[in-house]
Formats: sequence, structure tokens, C-alpha cells
Amino acid sequence: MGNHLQVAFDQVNLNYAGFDELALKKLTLHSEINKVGLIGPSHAGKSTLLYLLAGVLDQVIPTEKSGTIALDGQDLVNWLASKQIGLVLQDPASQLSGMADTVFDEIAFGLYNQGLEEAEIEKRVQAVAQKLDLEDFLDQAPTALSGGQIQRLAIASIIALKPDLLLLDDPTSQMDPLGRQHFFAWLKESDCPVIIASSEIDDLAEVCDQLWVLEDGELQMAGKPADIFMKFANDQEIAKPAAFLMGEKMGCKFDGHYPVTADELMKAAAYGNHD
Amino acid sequence: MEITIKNLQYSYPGSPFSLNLPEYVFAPGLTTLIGQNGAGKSTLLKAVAGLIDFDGEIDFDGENLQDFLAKGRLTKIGYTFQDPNDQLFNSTVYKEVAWGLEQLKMPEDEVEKRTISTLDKLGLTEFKGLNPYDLSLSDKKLLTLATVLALDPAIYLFDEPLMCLDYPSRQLVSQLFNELINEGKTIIMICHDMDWVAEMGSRICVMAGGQVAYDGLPRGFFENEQLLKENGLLPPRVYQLSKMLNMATPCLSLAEIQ
Amino acid sequence: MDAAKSASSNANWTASVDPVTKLLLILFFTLAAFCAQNLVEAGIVLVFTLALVFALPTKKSLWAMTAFSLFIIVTMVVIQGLFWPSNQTVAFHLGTIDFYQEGLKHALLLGSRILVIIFSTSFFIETTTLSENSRYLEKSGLSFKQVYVLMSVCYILPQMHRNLQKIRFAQKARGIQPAKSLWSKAKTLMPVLVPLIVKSFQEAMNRSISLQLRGFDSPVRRVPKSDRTYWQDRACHRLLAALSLVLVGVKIWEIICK
Repeated sequence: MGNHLQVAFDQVNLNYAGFDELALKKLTLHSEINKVGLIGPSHAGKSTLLYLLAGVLDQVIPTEKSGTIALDGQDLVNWLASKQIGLVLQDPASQLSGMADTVFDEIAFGLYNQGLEEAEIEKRVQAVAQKLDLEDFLDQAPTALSGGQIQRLAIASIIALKPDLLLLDDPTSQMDPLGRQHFFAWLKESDCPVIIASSEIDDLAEVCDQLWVLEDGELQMAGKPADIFMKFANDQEIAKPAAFLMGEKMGCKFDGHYPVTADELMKAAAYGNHD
Repeated sequence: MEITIKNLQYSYPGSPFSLNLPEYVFAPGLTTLIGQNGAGKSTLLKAVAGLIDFDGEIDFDGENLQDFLAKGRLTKIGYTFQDPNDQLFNSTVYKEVAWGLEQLKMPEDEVEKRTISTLDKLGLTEFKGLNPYDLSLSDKKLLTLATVLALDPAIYLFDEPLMCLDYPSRQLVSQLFNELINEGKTIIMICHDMDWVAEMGSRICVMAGGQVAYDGLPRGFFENEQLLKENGLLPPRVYQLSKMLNMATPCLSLAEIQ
Repeated sequence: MDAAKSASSNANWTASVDPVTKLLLILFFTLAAFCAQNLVEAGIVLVFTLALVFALPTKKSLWAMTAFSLFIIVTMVVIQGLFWPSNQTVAFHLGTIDFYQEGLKHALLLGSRILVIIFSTSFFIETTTLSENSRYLEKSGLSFKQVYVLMSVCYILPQMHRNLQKIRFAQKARGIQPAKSLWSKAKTLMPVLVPLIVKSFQEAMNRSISLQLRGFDSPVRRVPKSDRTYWQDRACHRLLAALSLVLVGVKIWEIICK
């Protein structure tokens, strides 16, 4: 299930105008995007990569880049011209339109821009509000919401547009644990290609089929969560999921690696290989 | 330093919400305030910091709040906010940390010494000449921490200190907090990271509706499913997993696993 | 904008004035203020705009803006009163310092213009409900982009005000005392200005990116429906536009005659 998107980065170098240091260095990766988790310390280039894919980096700061990026065989710029990209920024309050009296209006904003009919807009807004636990807030002013609720509103406004690629930059930082749980549960079931930069390593391990590890602008590794965590098992800079650390401490493996999800941990403890 | 609260009451103007604490004592060491949005955690922190006008009494080792702060706030209470962008205003990272020390009219070489050692402690030395706003969000958060650490106050109040931090920075901050606890500082922080709360193992104060719903060690709270549900919180990941594995005594943190 | 919501539900007369009329009022009064040659004429225009202000249901942001501008006006009065090139007649002494009539009059004239703009603009801001009125403006034929630019005052100012509150609070926690005297107010402005400007700039950038990705300038945008009715909107537009043209004509004539 799900739409898979082929992405091809070839020798992408990028630096911000006026800075010598490269924000992205020789980024080369050919991959299918289903649910990709982007991890790494701050200043790694995660936000840069997301903004770059969304085609908005130059609006933030002028850049000099070389190399190519292709999505589904098309050059990024051409692909973006005919597709709907969704980008959720780190600071949720600043991405709201500022023109909406109510949460409903805020979510509907992009839908009016798409030229949809009132009935369709009503339907979509209700559906999206339900997915992100915002149905009780539809009549409230966006300014009355808490930080976590605003984050959910920002996400709702983007997913209502049914984007062809969803890019999320640390979208759950201000959410409470329950809110975060619901969000990742929704993300797992969604049928849209996603790249999410986040430090919630347990949730990423449960939801993502792929992790890209960035550090200092360089792609350290891209692969399945299990392979990544095994490779970086001794690296103190990379967080590991609780299941993995527990498996490591208890000495049980699943399928040749320490478990990365709750399910794998259970199976590993039950009949996995013990060290 | 012991912070004693007596009959603390505060109502937000134009809101049914009110904070109501008949009695509470913050001992030296770490106390973490947890609870849903609107439970009163921020309000309590602001009251202790003397930033809002409340009814009731807050004493610091017997000394009344007003008197305690009258001699200058900087060396008494260090407070960091959720959003580091709200607190930074100097032109360089170095000046940001040095600012507070200069306000205290410390001799120049002492200012330099403390600033450099604080920046070093937080891994910010390489950024010292940069504008604070050029740092990543995680580093900005560390910087706000640096500005209060440099002043070495007796009391630390942190509003979501781990929010926005990347993984290595979280490790660093956890280590720093342990050092502060060993030095006998009184730390009150708001945190919504249950995994971290369990790892630290310090006292927690769960707030709901402006009142204290639970006060004690993490285990007592996380083992109480009813209480967890009422407060809309989840137990730590390790706890959930060890329960799933039907462990006799579910572990709260990795350290507890055999 | 909660003020605006209560305005419309209270059937206050301000709610039946359409937004274009309100914008034209700003234009008209501003032109009138600039055409005023002396303090009496300027005073008359000011009184009319004050009348508008008294119709407002809440005046929160108005006081904030007025207080800030009064600070600028007083500074201007002092500087012009002392140093304006055409100063000749002494108005009064302050110790050994002389304040001159011409400079004072000039500054007061400029000051009254600033106040007129502020009062008429806050009439628009405080009685304008964002969604409904942006629909009116779009229905009137403006493109959404133009509507957005026009309405930007309505959300940027309250947002800046909110940011200002948060930053002031965070600064207070760092020991920056809220200033009492005018001079210390100016001195403490810097620590608040820097984060405020940076934050506002970053927010503006983020908003711009987000809006663009949400199809802000999409050619297929469908204008949302609006059920509101206004009192004599077309007549008001024509009247105010005509009066404004007359004032422009008067000013041009004045310049030609000089």
C-alpha cells in the first residue's frame, strides 16, 4: 500500500551564500521514499535537505548548489511544478496564515486555493481534523491553541491538501506524549510518501521503513532502521530505540539484529537468538 | 535551598483556571513538574520565580520571596524558557553569557574565566564569536542554559529544557543536571519526556487543574494506570516494553534491566 | 481579533461599516492631517479620529501603540523645540535651556499627524474580523495577494505584540527590570528589540514559505462565500474617494502656489 516515490540525489553540494562551509556535501543517494526518517545531530543539514526538496531553500537564504536531484525521473524543479508538496516547519505558529478566525478556516485556506467546492472543503477539513484530534477545536481561534495543538493544526493544514510528498521538520517537539502517539499512529497508516526529521527515535523506528543518517552535511548511511542501529550501535551521537537498547542489554536478537520495534522485542524475547 | 509554598493561589484574568497549592516544599535536588497543558506547571514556575503576582507565600530557606529577590535576581534564580529565541539579545554568543556576569559588576578577568569555562562545559566554545541567532535551535537552547549556569544561582527553574535539543545535547544536559544535583542546587523543571523523567529517577510532581495530583517518585505514578489516564500521560517506553514482556517488576529505565 | 468577534456580535455600528470604507477613512484622515496648516486645523482632524476611537469596543492595542508613539512624539517635541533651524521666538525656559515656539509647533503638528494615522488605523484593526472582511475585499475584486497585504496589519501587529509580551517576560526573568523612567525605558528597549525583530523576521519568512506552498497565488483560487451586509458601502466609497481627491487637489494647488 502507498505511493512510492523514487528519489535520486547525485553529488549534491550546497552552501549558503557567504559561508564557506558546505551545508550538504556530495550527497548521493538513490532510493524509494515510503516513510523515511531523517536523523542526526543539529546542524547536520536535515532542515536544509527538507527545504531543498520543497523547493523553497532560496527563499530562506541564497544558496550555491551543484549536483542533481530527480524525483520519479524528473528534475526536482519540473516535478515540483506539477505536484503538490507539503512542508511542515519546525516553528508551527509562524506557518499559520494569520488570516483565519477559526481552526476550520485555517485548514480550509489551502483548499480554497486549490479551487475546491464548499462541500468538498467541508468534508476534507472534518476528515483531517478527526485524524489529528482537532474536531473539538474547529470553532476556536488559532491563537487560543496550545503549542502542541498548533503543531497539529499546521500539520492538518498541509495534509488536507493531499500532498504528493510530505516533508516534516520536527513536527512533534511541542506535543504531549498522547498527542505524539496519535500523530505517529496516523503517520504509519497514511498513504503519502513522507520524509520526517525527528528526534523521536522510538516512533521513527516503529513507523519508518528507512532511515537516513546525516551528520555535518554528509549522508552517513541510508537503510533499514535495524541495519542503521546495528551499524551505529556504539556511536554515542546516534540515539537508539528503547527496544534496541533493551534487546542489547538482555542479549536477545531478532533476525540477526537487536529488535527495533516493540513487536520485534517481544518475538526476540520469546524465541530470538540469545547472545 | 528549600523552597516552601504556603496557600499559593493564582487565577488567570478572564479564565476559570486557577492555581491552588495549600502546601508544598521543594527540597534541594531535582523536582520535575509534569502534567497536561493548562495544568498549572508554567504558572507555578513563574510564581516561584517571582514573575507573577500571586496570593500566598513562597519562602526560600525561610526568607520571603520579595526579600529574597530584593538583593538582585541574577545570582538567586536562573530561569530558562521554552523558546530560546525569547531570551537571547546580545550580539555574540560570548557576550550573551558574559552579560549576566557583567551586570553583577564582576572583575573582567573573572567574567572572562567564567564565560569561557561555561561555554566549554556546554560545547559552545567554537561558536563564541557568532551571533546567537545564527546557531541551530538546539545550540540556542544550550546557550540559554549557559547564560544561567555562568551565574551559579542556588535555584534553577527550567521550562522544558530538553525541548529542541538534539540527542548528544540531551546527554550533555542530563550530565549537567546530575552535577547540579550533586552540588545541592534546587532544580524545578517542567518536562513532558517521560523516558527522561524515569531515567533521572528524581521526585515528580504531577499537576492537574491547578492542583497537585501526585507527589513522589516516578514509579508510584507510572504504575498507577488510573492516574496516568486521568492526566493524559503515557508511561516511559522501557516501562511499556517491559510490561509487554510480562516482567515481574516492569523496569522504568534501562538502568533497571538485569 | 477576539475584540472584533465581540464587536460584530454586539451589533455595534462599527460592524456594519465595510472594510473598504474603513481603509478609505484612514486615507481621508491622513490626507486631511497633512493638509492641515496649523495646530487648530490639525486639532479638528484629530478630534474626528478620536471620535472613531471612542466607538471601539476594546482599546487594548490602541493604548500600546499610542503610548509608544507618544514616546516618539515627546522626543520629537524636545528635539525640534531645541534645535529646529527656523527657531526664533522663545516659548519658555527650562533652567538655562530655551525651547522655541516654531520648533514646538512644528513637532506638535507632526505629532498630531502620527496620532491621526494611529487612531484611524486602529479603528480598522479593532473592528475588522479577518476572515469575513478578507472575503469582502476579495469579492470587491482585489486579488487575494492584495487582500493579504492590506490585511497584514491586522495580524502582524497583534502577533508582534504577543511576541513582545513573551520576550519582555523572558527578559524580566533574566533580571532586566521593567523600566520606570523614559530614559531607562529607552535603555531597556534594545534587549527587547533585538529578539523581537529577529523573531518577527523569521516568522515572516516562514509564513511566506508556508503560504506559497499552500497555493497562496494560485490562479484557480475560489473566493469563499460571505453572508454579511454593509450599510451603503458603494456610496461611502464614492464619497470618501471624492473627498480624498479634493484634499489631494488642495495640496497640489498649495504646492504649485508656493
